[in-house]
Amino acid sequence: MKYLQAIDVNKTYGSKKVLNNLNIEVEEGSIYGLLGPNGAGKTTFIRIINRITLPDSGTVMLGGRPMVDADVEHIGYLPEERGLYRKMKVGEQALYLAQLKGMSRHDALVKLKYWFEKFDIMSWWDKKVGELSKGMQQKIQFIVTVLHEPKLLIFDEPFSGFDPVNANLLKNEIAELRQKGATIIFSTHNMESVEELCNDITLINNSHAVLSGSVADIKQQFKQNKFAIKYRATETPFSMDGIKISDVKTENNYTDAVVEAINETSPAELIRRIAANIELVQFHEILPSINDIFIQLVSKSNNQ
Amino acid sequence: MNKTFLIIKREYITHVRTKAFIILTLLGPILTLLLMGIPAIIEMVGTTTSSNVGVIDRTERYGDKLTNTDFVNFTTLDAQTNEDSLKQNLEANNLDGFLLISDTPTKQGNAKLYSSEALPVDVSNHIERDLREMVRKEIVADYTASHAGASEGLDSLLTNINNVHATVSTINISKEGDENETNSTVSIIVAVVTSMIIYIFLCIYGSMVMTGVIEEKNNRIMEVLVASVKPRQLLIGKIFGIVGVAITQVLCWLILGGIIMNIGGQFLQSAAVGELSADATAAVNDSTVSSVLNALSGLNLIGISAAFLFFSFGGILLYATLFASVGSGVDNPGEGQQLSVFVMLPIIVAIYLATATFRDPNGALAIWSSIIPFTSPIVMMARLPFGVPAWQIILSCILLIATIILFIWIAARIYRVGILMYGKTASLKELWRWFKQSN
Repeated sequence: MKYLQAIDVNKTYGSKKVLNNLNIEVEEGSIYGLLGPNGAGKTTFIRIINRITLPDSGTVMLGGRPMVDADVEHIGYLPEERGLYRKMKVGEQALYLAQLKGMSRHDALVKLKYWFEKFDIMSWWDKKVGELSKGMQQKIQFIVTVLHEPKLLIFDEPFSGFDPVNANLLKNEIAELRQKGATIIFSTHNMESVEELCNDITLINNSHAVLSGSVADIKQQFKQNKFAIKYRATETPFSMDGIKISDVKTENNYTDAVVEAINETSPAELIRRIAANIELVQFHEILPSINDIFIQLVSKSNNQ
Repeated sequence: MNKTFLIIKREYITHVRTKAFIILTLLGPILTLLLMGIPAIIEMVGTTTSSNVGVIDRTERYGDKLTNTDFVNFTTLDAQTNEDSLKQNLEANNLDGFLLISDTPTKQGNAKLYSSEALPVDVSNHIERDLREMVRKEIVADYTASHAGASEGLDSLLTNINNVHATVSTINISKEGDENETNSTVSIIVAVVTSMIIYIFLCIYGSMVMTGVIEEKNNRIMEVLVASVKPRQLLIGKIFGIVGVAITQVLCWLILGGIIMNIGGQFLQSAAVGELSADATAAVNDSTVSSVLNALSGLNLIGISAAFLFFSFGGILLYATLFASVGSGVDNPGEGQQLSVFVMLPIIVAIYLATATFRDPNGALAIWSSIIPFTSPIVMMARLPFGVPAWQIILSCILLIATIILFIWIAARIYRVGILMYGKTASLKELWRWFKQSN
């Protein structure tokens, strides 16, 4: 079931078109990656989901019906630009922010106690936020984002501000939240985390959705029929008609190389032909990383 | 609505707990006492209009000797003129007021200055000076006549002369024909104190709101907040939270002031009873204290208090709104100070206008600046103790409320865009563009 759907969403600031007929479908319980260079329109789209701004036209559906203002109580949002009141005490502040998300004081206290004990930070409760280190503040920020058990979690560049320890903690917690049934949207240009975590992605560039689908499908779509091979080194360099060989590197009697069939050739046929000539020990398909696809698409569209 | 209340509560608690609030709350009453010294300075300031004052002198000893100046013209009337009929016909006689001398003007009530609208304080001061000089001359003349050059009794003569204080009671004739005994000095004190407090409120609470908005932007907590509540709720919560702080401050001051007055009063009384003779105490009570009390009760204290509450909270609402939208347009407090000059300007103009008002409470400048919303909270308080027609007060109140509503609406539109803008200080032109931008 689609939990979040954006249908033909348009947004213009002044004369600048920020979102152009954006269509996105997020499966319930999935982790969705929203990719794109800075200024592509990701943050604007996230603000539209959070009802911070409204689209000029188009609809955003949540759980099968058009969104209303009250829906923000079911969304947890960790913005790229995030912070806390420095002079306010940790517990008081977390309680305040939880209540703004519609929680009762009592529920908020119970949940806060759970998370503070889980992270073993109960002793920070009466400290002012300004007295905490950056990493400690990030933990508080994360708790505040997930405290009201939102059905939809949105993380805008979550790993950019977090130190490695907290980034890892965040990853684990996100995986756990997903198991509990939350739908999660990532907005990032950190491609490594996308491949690791996301099921589906949409690539936004210059206000357009230029690519969307599951990570596996996209990789298949952009593969270039390249294969990595490893074989026992031969005295004369290995060459064959109809096959392009590159990146040849010999070490410890074994040679690594990348081969590419010039004509349409199935992998099985390719293996057969290569193995007939040399002593092949490894053969695997090279799939492009999301990072490569990203750079390829963005630089292509920017050059047009 | 519930969330707006949460924001109000946070805003309120945060500010009430600050050291600045506590210090100001304790210092307020002391500062007010210091402000009381200002009227003395203001009385030295000249007036701009000239008043025509008729003189009915039943004693026929002083009236024709009063000197005209550039701010007052005396017309000696028949000594037996009926003052009641004159009260009804001031305008017909082309007079701003009249002076009634019923006996030697050294005793309270023997010289009364009637006017329909308060005369500049310089007028009564000038009359008091003139009369005192005349009475002194009389005493010297009496002495010369009875002692014929003898030196005995010179001591008592000198004492007598030094003790001469001509007192002129100023009396306002209202439309209904009631007479209120006012004392210009007391009116001025009330006017200065109330308008100065509002001035201080606008500056302090206005910049408090601005600092709060900039802090939220600077902290980058803003986006977390607007993902939970509407910017409009945030703005309204902020402004009304601050008004709540101001109300608390005033209540604290009233309670503290009450305690100080009570203790101080008891102290003065016991000191008076202990050290002064019964006669002297009676004399003190008769002249100074009773005239101040009379003058105070002559003022509509309840009305002035109500107006003070209305105009201080109205003023804070209006200016807090303006300061909030300025705050949303900048990234750091330094830039905020620069841009806030535009908002501070009318407040500073208002306090200058208020000073002018003490000289001439019913001049055109005073009337209009007490009606126009941006200056009215301060200038109206400066005018009220001298008597202001009801229609002007009502018009001023309605305009202030309407302006507040209009500006909360305008500010909310600027605010919702400004709070998410980073990296540069907005120009006035940009604020205007934000205002026009759709949601």
